Amino acid sequence: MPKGVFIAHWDDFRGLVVEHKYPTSIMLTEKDLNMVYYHHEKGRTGSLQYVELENMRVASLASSGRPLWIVVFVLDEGEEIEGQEDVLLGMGRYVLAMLAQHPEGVDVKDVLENQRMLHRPTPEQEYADIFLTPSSALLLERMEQEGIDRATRLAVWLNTQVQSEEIDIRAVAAPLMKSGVVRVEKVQGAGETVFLVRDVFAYRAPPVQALQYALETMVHIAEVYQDRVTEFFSPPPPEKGYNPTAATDDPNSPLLEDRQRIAEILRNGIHYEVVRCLRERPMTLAEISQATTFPVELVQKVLWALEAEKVTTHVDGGSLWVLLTDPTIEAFMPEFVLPDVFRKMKDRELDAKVVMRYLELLDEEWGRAE
Amino acid sequence: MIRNVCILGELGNVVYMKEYAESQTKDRLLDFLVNLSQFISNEEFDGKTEHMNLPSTRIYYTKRDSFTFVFVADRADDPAQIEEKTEQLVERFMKDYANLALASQPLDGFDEVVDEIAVTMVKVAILGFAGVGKTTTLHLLRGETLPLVHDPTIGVSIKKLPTEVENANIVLWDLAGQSRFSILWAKMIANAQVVIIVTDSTLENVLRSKKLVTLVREEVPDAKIIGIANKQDLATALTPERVGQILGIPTYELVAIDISYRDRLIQIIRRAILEGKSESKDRVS
Repeated sequence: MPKGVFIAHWDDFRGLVVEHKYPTSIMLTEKDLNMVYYHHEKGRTGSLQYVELENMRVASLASSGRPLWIVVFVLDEGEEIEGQEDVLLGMGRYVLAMLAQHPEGVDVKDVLENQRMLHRPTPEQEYADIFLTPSSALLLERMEQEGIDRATRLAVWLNTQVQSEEIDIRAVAAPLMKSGVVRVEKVQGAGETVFLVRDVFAYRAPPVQALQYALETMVHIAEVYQDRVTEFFSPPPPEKGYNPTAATDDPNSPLLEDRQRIAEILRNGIHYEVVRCLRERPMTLAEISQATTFPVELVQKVLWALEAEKVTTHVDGGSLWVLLTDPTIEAFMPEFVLPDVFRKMKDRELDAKVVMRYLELLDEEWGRAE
Repeated sequence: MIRNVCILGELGNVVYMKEYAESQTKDRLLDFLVNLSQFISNEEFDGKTEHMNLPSTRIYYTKRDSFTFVFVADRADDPAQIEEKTEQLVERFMKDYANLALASQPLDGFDEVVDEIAVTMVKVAILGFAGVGKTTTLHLLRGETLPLVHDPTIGVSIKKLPTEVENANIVLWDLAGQSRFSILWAKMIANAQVVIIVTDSTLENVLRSKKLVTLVREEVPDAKIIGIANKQDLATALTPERVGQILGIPTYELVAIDISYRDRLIQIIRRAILEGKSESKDRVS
């Protein structure tokens, strides 16, 4: 267990400023803070940085984007990092999420003593990054048409699409690679090749599990709850209800905007934890707070925000919160690209070796799963 | 310090906005302010200024007639001082600019009024390669005794200049010159109004320092850049004129270990700040 923690933020006029520390007896110099900042600028975003300072060893995690916050754990003498990396990362993620949403609720002592954590991103959260990274969703659409493409060709295509030569194809492709949606391999004779091995679809699912739970054990709210869900998904005509598969090419269509919202909700660690709780069953505010370990006032704010997005609603005179729609991103096998891939092989647009490798990758990914 | 000044009209439209330093991203801040203006539209302020806290900043707001006035300042700032400045700004705006704003006319001269009231801190960055005398220059400016042992700067050393310029505090950023810290330079000069490029006046160092001038011009195009030809007491020193020619920026001689240069250097910085301000006014007009 770390023996202390401090939180600092970067300020263009004052440098790294310490906002919280526990215990208050931790002594920090300007050099210490600068070394921590330096290692974060040098290192990889989202990963822990270990730094040996003059009088202490620290492990730290920084927020991505601006404003820059750094959570720094002061390690005990002789304390090994191995085995506690997940805990440190989890606590770091928790503090960073709290700072972004509910800064007045950050209690560093409580975080440290009770090991408050946000767990590592789930696959659906990683998929959400695709829709939140500029041009990544565009690249996915291209891969949905091609199935297989050369990295260089993709880069040229993307530059043309966004009409800029400064676009960093690696940054654009990163969420697709990290989430396992595409695989990039060097294939003999074909150079660096990108394969679509998973496709993803963002939509609002009916909250089946929570509804079932209400029907079985919370009969007094079941009917009202079911009516609300039905009203959203399949209201009586002439209303059309919710249909995420309606075809659209318009980038400003409500469906694409909704996909963006779904991705934002899933990527927000605090919102996501609240949604996860309500996927299981209806809960009171206090129960959600207890299950997520977030302060009641923060959970209340989140529930209101999610209510505005038609994700949650309250029943039973406001005492119970339920999921109205379940923001979901699912992955599936992109078998629809295969006929085109085979046609291209036949027309010698694609090398047989490349296609064979694609089938192997799909088999590795989906054959094993089945 | 005050980071943003914003005035919104009755419909949440932006009448005036100025960003002195990054607080939240501009679009998010604007969205937030428009919502805030709608939220407080029915509140009675009676000339009072309220505030609310964000992670590292505090938003001060008040309403006068149909206008909402918002200041974003650091949480470390004294609320009484910021409230006083907000009130000063409200008074000046209502007296001289409200009618222009209502008629959707340009608010000529208001930018200078805002600068006069809101600028409380000016950042001066001292940049140069290792061993050219940046930290010695910092000590000289602060009137401090020079340390006997050379202690290389780690990252950055941030200190205030004891002298104020037009009621604004001058914050000096002495950037580490070792090459491993070069990845920080671009971020650390952000929002600097003046960048001082220190050289040791040797030909090799001055030629290398040309790329620092390019970096500053790219990263902070609005900053005033001045060159320092330090170590003029050494026989190998190029003249300040020659150093200035090579760097392509106004350059001044210095012997940072000689206290008699202190006042001259402060005057140079003061002049650069004032010139920077007048250039920024020209750009606005």
